[in-house]
Amino acid sequence: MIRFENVGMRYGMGPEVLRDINFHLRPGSFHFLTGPSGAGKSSLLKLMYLMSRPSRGLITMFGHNMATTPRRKLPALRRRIGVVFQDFHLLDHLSAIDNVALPLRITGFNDEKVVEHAGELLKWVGLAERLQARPATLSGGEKQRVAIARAVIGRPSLLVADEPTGNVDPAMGSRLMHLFQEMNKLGTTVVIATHDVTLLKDVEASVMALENGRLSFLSRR
Amino acid sequence: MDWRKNLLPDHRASGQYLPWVIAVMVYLATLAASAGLTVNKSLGQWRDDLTRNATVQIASARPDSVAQQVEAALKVLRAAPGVEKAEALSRGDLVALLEPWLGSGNVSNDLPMPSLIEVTLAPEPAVDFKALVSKLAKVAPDARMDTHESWIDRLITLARTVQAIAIGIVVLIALATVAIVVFATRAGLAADQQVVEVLHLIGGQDTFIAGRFQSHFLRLALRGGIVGLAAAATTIVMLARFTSELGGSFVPKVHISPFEILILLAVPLAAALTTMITARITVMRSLARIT
Ligand SMILES: Nc1ncnc2c1ncn2[C@@H]1O[C@H](COP(=O)(O)OP(=O)(O)O)[C@@H](O)[C@H]1O
Ligand SMILES: [Mg+2]
Repeated sequence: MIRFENVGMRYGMGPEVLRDINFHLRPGSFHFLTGPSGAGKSSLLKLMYLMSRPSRGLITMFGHNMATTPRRKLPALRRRIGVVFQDFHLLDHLSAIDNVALPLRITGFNDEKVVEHAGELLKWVGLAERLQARPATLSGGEKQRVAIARAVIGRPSLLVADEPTGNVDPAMGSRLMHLFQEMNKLGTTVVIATHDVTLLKDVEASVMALENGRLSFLSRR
Repeated sequence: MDWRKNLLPDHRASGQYLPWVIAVMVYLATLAASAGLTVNKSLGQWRDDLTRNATVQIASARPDSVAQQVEAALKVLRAAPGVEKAEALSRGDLVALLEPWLGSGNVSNDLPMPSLIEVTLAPEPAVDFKALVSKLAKVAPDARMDTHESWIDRLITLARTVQAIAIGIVVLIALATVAIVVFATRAGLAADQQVVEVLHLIGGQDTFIAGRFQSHFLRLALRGGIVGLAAAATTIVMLARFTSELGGSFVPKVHISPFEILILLAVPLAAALTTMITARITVMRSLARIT
């Protein structure tokens, strides 16, 4: 479903931050991407959620060759990808529930249903009391949970999370991991970048490690 | 409440001054347009007045022949097809014409004055001035006919110049508006870069994102346009009062017909449309540059 072949990436004229990346993610699989800070985890995820383009190599997403897919077809592909950004990327002027509702709203779903669904999701991540709160009034962990709810509301085929448990306590961390596993059981391919190796032990998943822009496989499933 | 309306935060960077700028632009453009319209209409009025009149002037070194020449000229004129009326002005009429310049009582009785015949032309048929002038020359060798033609030509040139200037001003205002809206949209895009990025990454189409900016700027422009139009309307009404009080036949009368009201209403609408389309194109172009 997602295939990277000899992918390299650089920012502008800088050095390659990703080199010779090769992997294939099957539909419904679960992956961790580990590696020290600066190894290139976020950069690799940016390629996956179609924010950046590789400087070389071939990326195939949902059967589409990204080098030849016209720009106007990308929004439809992006809607199949849920992203938890490392810095959340919540919209500060919208309430928590409006942030979560956004991905469904832009696809033109019935607004009442969207709001209802967004509310349920926020309850599920323990934010039932904060539906109307602005992100600025939320703690780091609460923002993170809003971001996760927004990423999963569209039932994406691919869920990409960049350090999604970085700001929450271990109990909430395992609860969020549980949410990702639920999504995975429903058929979503999950990729989680983390430098927190304690997350790895509770979940059966393949583990990819990045070091200096090169990818190796610690365990394959 | 439609969620789309709140998708962009309040534009501190671009929202505050834009309606005022648009208001000023609409005010100036509306005044320029109405000046152009007024001149157009006055031109028609002046032309009617002037083409329906001609003067024959008889000045001679031998004053004793003048009275007889006037009589002969009047006969020829009254017989000519297309002439409705021909009247000789009395000395009293001439004195009255001169008094505004010379002061009342200052026109001495022995001041030599030409004799003037005022000719009123019928709308139909057109007078054959060449034939008329040659006939006049036979019976009244000292007669000179003045058909105001050079006056009319000069008035037309003046009116056309004023109109060209008015159109030029409207075009310049439109161009300046486009430039200002481009800058305001870019400022808005920069201020809302985070929002744009999020909308883009969760799969928002360029047209959707551009649509948000477009309707935001449309609202600002309509607000400004209404203020500008109201100010222009006030100015025009004041001018209209003023000119009708003056009442001179040569001061252009500011009188607005329903058709002209439509044209003037079109000014703020055109400004709003220009703003909306400019904002859309600006956003679409800048989005096309990101992946
Ligand atoms: N926007 C950027 N422009 C230039 N260099 C960047 C940018 N983002 C990341 N980098 C560089 O790319 C490398 C990998 O960064 P990143 O992918 O964020 O690593 P990680 O997420 O594993 O910490 C680092 O050297 C970082 O400095
Ligand atoms: Mg990172």
